[in-house]
Amino acid sequence: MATEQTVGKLMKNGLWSENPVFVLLLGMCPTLGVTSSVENGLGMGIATAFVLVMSNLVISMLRKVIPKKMRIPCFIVIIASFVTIVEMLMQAFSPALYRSLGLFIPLIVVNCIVLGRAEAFASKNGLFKSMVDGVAMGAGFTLALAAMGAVRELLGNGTLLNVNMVGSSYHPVLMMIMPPGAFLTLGFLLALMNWINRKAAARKEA
Amino acid sequence: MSRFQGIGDVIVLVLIALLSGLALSGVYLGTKERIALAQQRELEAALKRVCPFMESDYREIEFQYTDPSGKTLKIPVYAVYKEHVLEGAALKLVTHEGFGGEIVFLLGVGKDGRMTGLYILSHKETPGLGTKAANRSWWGQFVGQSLDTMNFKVKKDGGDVDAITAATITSRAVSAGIEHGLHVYRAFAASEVSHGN
Repeated sequence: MATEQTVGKLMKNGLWSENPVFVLLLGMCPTLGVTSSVENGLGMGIATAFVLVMSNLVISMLRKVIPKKMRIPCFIVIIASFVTIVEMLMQAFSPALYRSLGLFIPLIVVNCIVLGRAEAFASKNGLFKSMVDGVAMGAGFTLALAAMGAVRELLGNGTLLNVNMVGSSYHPVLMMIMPPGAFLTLGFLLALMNWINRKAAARKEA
Repeated sequence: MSRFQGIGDVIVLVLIALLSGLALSGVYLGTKERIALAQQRELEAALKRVCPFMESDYREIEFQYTDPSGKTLKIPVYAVYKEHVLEGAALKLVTHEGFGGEIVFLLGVGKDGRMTGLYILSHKETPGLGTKAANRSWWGQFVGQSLDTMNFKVKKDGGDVDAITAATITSRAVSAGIEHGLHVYRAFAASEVSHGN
């Protein structure tokens, strides 16, 4: 059951132990920029995940054709094409989300996670594993963005997915949905994750 | 030998770019109509929100407005007619005085030059503060008001407008924008009468 193990391991890598946001700290621009609400975080995460899976697939498929010296321009062309496709699809089918994410969609092109997975994984592994890696990393990125969006939306606006959670007596901490809130949330979530990891390691030793 | 290998590399890149281009034009052709439709639907939904009397047979006109300083502005007007008489219109306006720069909005105006609604299309105001200008709970105070019934300055500046707490600059910008829009509508309605449509 070697493949099953690797699928499980790849998923665990993407979601937790090599989570692109909280462990690799890659792709900080959208992470800090769009996570002012759960909806934006999810939308950005899913768009990036789609690009990741598709570019991983195509790059893995072409890994024997793409010349070593020219690999980066080849990767960029492929990634940029998928980003543009996502942009057009989003504009056509979800104009409201397109409007709120705006500038951050084309910026997926320069998101280090996408290029990073192409270079470190898809260009060296087969189709199936590359696809699983794309799904896992995409899901990890999406969950991380949604978690940040949830903290910031709840504290900064008193809502989750635009539904009021705390009643009218709560006075929202506005700063949380402004840029400083993004850095604070990221820091605290990183600390929380490290704390959980340390607890788990200590339990293993004991 | 190595020179030919270099050419091979270039050919691969060119082929990848070519295929990407083909894929993109395919998706573009496939989504073009839907994107136009989505944009049209968004505009129509916004028009309905600012003008309760909006009909689907509105007329889109680019109105040449000369402001008091003598500058000519081209302002998109979505005018509604009932039996060839102007019933009201939505105007697409821009103010540059916002806290974060440009605010683009739709303003609904009724027959007698009274404001009927506001819809902000794009802005860069502070989340949670200036963005409140998009809520009816704030701009509701303008509904039913006209140039004759209201002083469009915020109370701090001696006018009638209740400014948003901690967003006076945004409040000033949007209030002035609404006043400007009502002037434009007055000029538009006058030009309609003089042309006799």
